[in-house]
Amino acid sequence: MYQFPAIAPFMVIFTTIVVLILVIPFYRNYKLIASISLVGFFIAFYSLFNHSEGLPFWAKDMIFISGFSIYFIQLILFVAMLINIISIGYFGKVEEEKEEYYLFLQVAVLGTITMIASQHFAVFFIGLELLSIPLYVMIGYIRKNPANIEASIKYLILAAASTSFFLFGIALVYLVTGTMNIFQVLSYINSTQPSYLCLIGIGMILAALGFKLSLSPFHMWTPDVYQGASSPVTAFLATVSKGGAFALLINLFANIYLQSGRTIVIALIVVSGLSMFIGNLLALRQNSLKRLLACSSIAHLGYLLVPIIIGGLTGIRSAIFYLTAYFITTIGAFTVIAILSNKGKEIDSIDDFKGLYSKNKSLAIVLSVMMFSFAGIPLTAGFMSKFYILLIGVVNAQWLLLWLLIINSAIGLYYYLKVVFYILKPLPKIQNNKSVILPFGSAIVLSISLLIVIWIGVAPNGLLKIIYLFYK
Amino acid sequence: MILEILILVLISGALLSILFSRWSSILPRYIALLAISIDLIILLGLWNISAFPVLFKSKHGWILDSFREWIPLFKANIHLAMDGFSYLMLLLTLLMALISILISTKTENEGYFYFNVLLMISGVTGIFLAMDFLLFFLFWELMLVPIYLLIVKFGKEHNSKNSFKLILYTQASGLVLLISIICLNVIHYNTVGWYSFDFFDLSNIIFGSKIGSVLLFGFLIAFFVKLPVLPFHGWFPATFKEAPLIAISSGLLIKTGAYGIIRFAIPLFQEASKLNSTIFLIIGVITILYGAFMAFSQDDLRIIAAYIAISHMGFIIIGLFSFNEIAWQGVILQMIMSAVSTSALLFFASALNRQTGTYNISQLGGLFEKFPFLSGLGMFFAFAILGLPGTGNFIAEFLILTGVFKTNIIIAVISSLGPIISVAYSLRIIQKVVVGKKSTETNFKDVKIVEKIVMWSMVIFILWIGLYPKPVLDRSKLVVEKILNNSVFNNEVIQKKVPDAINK
Repeated sequence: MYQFPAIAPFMVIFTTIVVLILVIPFYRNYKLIASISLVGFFIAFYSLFNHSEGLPFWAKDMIFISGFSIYFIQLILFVAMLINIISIGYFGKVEEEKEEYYLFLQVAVLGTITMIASQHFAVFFIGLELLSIPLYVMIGYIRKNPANIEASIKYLILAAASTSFFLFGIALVYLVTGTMNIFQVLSYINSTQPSYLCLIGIGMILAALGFKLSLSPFHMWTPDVYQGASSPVTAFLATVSKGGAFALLINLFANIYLQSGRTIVIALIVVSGLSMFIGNLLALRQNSLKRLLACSSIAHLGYLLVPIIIGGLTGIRSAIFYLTAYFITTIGAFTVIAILSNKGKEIDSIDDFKGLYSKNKSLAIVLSVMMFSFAGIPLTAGFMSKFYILLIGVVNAQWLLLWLLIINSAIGLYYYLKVVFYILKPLPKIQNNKSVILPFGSAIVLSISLLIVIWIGVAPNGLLKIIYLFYK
Repeated sequence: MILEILILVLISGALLSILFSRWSSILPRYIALLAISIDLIILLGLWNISAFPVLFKSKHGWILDSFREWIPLFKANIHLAMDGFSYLMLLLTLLMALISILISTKTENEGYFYFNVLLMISGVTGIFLAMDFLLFFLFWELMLVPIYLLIVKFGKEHNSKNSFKLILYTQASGLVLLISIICLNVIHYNTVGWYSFDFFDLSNIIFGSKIGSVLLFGFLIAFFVKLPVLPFHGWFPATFKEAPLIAISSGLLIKTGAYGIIRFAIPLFQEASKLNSTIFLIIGVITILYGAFMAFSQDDLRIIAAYIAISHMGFIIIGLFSFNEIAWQGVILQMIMSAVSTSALLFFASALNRQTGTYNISQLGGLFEKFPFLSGLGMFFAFAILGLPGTGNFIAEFLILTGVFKTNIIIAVISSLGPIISVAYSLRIIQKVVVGKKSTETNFKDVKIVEKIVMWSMVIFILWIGLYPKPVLDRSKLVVEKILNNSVFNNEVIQKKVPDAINK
């Protein structure tokens, strides 16, 4: 079965889901369920290491797994493992029935990797729904917390609306091109001048993607949902769910030729510029750390569109590099938030982070380094990834995008450094300094993310070689 | 290998001091002192050969050169090199760092403090040694973050605005610098066919005047912000108010701006700098006069010191853009002397603050009675700053003015107003602080032995250079000749040797 390695992650996760469904009713042990979930992710992650035989893999018209997809799937699985570990510590103290959470986590990850491996819009849609529906539940998981439920309803309504747009867009594109295969649609756009009908269809697809990726002008839900959901779920939203949608972005939008697809490229430039500005300007006025990170993620996705617009192999490589750095940094930041919020009561306003350095040095250091990485200060992963984008931008002479990127990076500095400023402030003596206990798993996640961020920042060559290996 | 050791010792010192801060609160200070001393010993070992370009293991006439692959995919490598000029700068930086650590008082978070100080010093060291532009940029930004962290924790002002100004100016200009660096890389590819971030490869390209001017401005924006020169000096006085050690470090850091211009901006873009030199000369003159006037009108001793530094930097600008060997010798000397004398003034101010509790000179007065030692030193430093003959500052300013005079007489004449006003502000300091009626009650605390030694050594240093500047001038001569011995600059410049009277 030389094709096995390619489908392995799907099989493993599917098996894990079935195992969980069977175990939960009979033996409800939180640690056991969480471990099964973790082991499932790990086996799926590990199975992709011997991938060279059987690639690239096509399943008829539906699924396409190449070196690109393997790296992406492994990244998603790695991040999912980390989120799993954080959730163990976070939900451990919550008084709910917490075992089903891991079931939903597994299904959502299955949906994401389906999206990454898909070649056909219908398969992509299946993945999209597999991702979104568990997310509705995960966001609203702690029923006693009204913020959770509110965030879940907001997400549900908007996601349903965007899904309808997506379907209608696919239908229009099918009407014009006669095919629902993503790559065939791409070659259609590149070869013939797409008609208005086709452009409207593509626009609707872009709208749906924009919702999932929290790009402007589809970003309205982001601050509220990020703030309302529990921290591990927010981390999931910010990383894995974006990863799936980003795969479609790469497949469909990264290789558009300028002659025929000019309108689409202009639309992408507008969306990118808007996202950068709106994200940064909104974040300047936020007083809650989670909302701040939400608005900053809007801006970061704006930055991520730049290599997609530049396109080509170098564009895709630098986008994946940036995505990797962004994922790890986000996980690090949200792990700190998850550790600091206990019993499902979220730590929210920036005031609560005052004097974190005196309370717990390691948490403060990790959060500061993550903020520096978001801001793009050298020696961190964020800088190297931004530098890569600037490099290909100059090589391709995309001056407008470059200046947008620079100006927004400068604006972004303010709020990231504000957080660091608050962390380092000395605590007023009156408050009782409860020291924070770090759950074991979360501590490991913290160290891993810190090490990776600094490793990519100082010696990015290792990761670059890996990416070059996969993306030829 | 030696060059990498220099940087690695400092970085490991930083990590060790924050690690050990858990168990002992006096250990970080000694770790820091140890790290800097190791580096100093290594540097002093190179003293003899640094006067002559030795070609062992190096090319292009540099003393030491080391190369290591770093990111082949970006074509950026760890390429470090040292010549006489960077040697002088390194020696200066490490000595000033040693002195500042010796003088600094104990803080609550010693590990954190020395972590940041050592990181900053390693950033500065890296800047003086890096020959690959991505590496240079990395160290450039690395200098910045520790200062910010120090200001946030230990700043006296407890206002985020000052630190934010610092970051905004430096980071924004840094991004422009980054784009210019990447453009250099791409132009190199278009000209020669392969990418490179290495300075030696890039210096083989001749940049036309138009693109050269654009890139020159890109580089200079970043260096002018660091320097600091007139339009971009907003962050500087605010930073000086924060804490003495930070102020001294800022005094050190601004030398990196001048270093960048001498080492990279002018050699790479020779035609463009010659073309645009008038603008920069004018900026320089305005900076001199603006700094001098502001120094005269302020009351806070620290801000006076900041504006004095700005004024000195103006001298550096006019010296650099007159493309004259004498002026450049003066510039390098001025970099050293300005750092030493401004730091000396700040030591004086902080010692004074410890005794009297204020930095405001209109509240002080007549301190000569109570603190004869301190006042005497203060007077000496004030005289040094105004450029009294016999001090190194005089030599530097004289060399610069002589060089500028050859190139552009008007600028030279207007800039000579600078020393005149400097007399005014220096004497104002002396008058308000040292002589005159006593106006505040003071409690007499002892001046520590360490401080006495440090201040005396600064006095001796200033006098020594003032009377015997030859060791410094010898080392800088080669660099200056190498850079300026180029047809672009040779046409209108009359090459004359430094007058023998000074070279005794």
